[in-house]
Amino acid sequence: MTAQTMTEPAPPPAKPRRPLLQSRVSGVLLVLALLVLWDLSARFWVDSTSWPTVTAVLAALFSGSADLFAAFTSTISLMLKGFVLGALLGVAGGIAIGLSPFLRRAFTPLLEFLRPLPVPGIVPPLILLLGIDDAMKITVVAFSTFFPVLINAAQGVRMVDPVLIDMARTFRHSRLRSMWQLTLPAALPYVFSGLRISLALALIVTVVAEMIAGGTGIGYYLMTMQYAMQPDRMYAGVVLLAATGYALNWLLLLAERRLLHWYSPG
Amino acid sequence: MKNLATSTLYAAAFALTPLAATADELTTVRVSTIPIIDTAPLQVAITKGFFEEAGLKVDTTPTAGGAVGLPALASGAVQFTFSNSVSIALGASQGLGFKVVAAGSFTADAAPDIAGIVAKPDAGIKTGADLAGKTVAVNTRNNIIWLYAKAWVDATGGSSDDLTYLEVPFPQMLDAVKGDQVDAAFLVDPFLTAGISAGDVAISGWPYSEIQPSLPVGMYAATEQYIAENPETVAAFVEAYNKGVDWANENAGTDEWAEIIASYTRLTPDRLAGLKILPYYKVIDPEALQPTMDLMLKYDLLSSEFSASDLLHDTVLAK
Repeated sequence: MTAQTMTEPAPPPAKPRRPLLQSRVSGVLLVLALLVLWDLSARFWVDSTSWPTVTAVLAALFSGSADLFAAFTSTISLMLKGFVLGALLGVAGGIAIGLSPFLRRAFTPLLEFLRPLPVPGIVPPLILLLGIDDAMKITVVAFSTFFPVLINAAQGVRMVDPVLIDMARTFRHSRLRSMWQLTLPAALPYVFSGLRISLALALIVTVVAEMIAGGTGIGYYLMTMQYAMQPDRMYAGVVLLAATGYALNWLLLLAERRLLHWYSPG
Repeated sequence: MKNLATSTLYAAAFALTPLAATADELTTVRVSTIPIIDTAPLQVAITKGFFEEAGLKVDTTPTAGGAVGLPALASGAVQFTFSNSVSIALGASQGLGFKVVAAGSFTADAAPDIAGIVAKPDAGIKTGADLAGKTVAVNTRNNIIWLYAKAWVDATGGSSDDLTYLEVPFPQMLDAVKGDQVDAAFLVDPFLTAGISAGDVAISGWPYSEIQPSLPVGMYAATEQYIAENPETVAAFVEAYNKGVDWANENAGTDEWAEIIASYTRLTPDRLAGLKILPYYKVIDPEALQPTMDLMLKYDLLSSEFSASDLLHDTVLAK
């Protein structure tokens, strides 16, 4: 008998049972607890026509589902157009700025000047230029999507290990090839974190634009329901908006994991 | 990107070229509206086909707050905008060429009105003098609500400079009064009726009808340039709209009327049932509008005298 057989490999230890509060369930529990608190507050403490119970909101979610579906379809299609436009411009601009110190010096002051402009501030002048329709709203969404992507892409390009670039040059790779095979993949994780910031922003900005210049979409729906004294329907829209934001972020994370399977942060 | 460029071009072309009307083709006009009961005749005229009979296809672009209607009119993105007399006059005085082409809504000739100043029932606020040092909620500063709040305070023994005007959107005003964030609020329907019938607030005064009964408040504006280039379209629009006025006055309170109102305001039947329904008119008397212009001058919204008859186009004057 060898030593090996004597010390039988122990069966893999049973997965340790994690206490409830350390598991994922705790996040869901917190949401549920807050919903219960909301419902109780609407029933017993807050006496206001604009604070409905959770059950009323859930009922409005079902009874208004056709309206909500139409509103969300319009909002998300608008958001995606603006987001894609802003993201493409942001990636292109970010790479250019990341690669060229000259462009970086030339554009940084302008970008830093434009970046903090709040959306409600740029909508009225944009109405004069682009009207009140989709062109104006898509521009606003693209504007706010652009900056996080640009800044992250530029950062990503600059973070490429210079040794790798030198090595590529030693092997006589063309500039285009090292850009495509080195710089872009290395910048991709940064671009993705920019995209995730932008996606959340894009949803917010689309809704704000619809609230200011309305007619369609969830932003207009929220305003109309507020003015029609139907807060249950308004909050149904808000709840769905939160769920949409969550889902969009999750989808982007999924895409990120697919595309960046080789990359592990930290 | 291509989409954006084409739609931008389209918007620009749309703004510049006058719309050609042919016999069998409807002329499309865009109207910026606010989804409130004041715009009922317009919605009636759309639903009942009065515009189509007049050769027009009316596209409405509603904005809940109404903030973009006049900028959109100035830019040519829309051809007609429903707004209030003060905002239209303000734009006209700034050289934007706004003219009132059709009447919209008037306030009541006596209390109870469609808008009023409210406070908590036990607050004891009955006059402008009672508001000294206090805070009153208005939906926007420098608009008609703000102007008549000031005028009412001065007219009822107070001093309009002695109080703070806080911007609070109409849907939040009742909560602001109940939560003591403001002492009073200039509230409109349906919030006014809802707050009073629930006993949360009581009326302190009716600024509009106490200062001037049957005050013209809401109205439709177009630009001088558009009116000059499209006189037939403007005339057809006003004629069809006025048919909507007649229909709304004759059928107010009927089921069909309620259905039309509910379809665009999204008010529930019980809220609709509680609303005061006022008559709509087709003409605006310059004499009735002039006091508003004079108040604008008094409270520094205008820097020089402004004549109401300069604001009113022929289509809204008595024939």
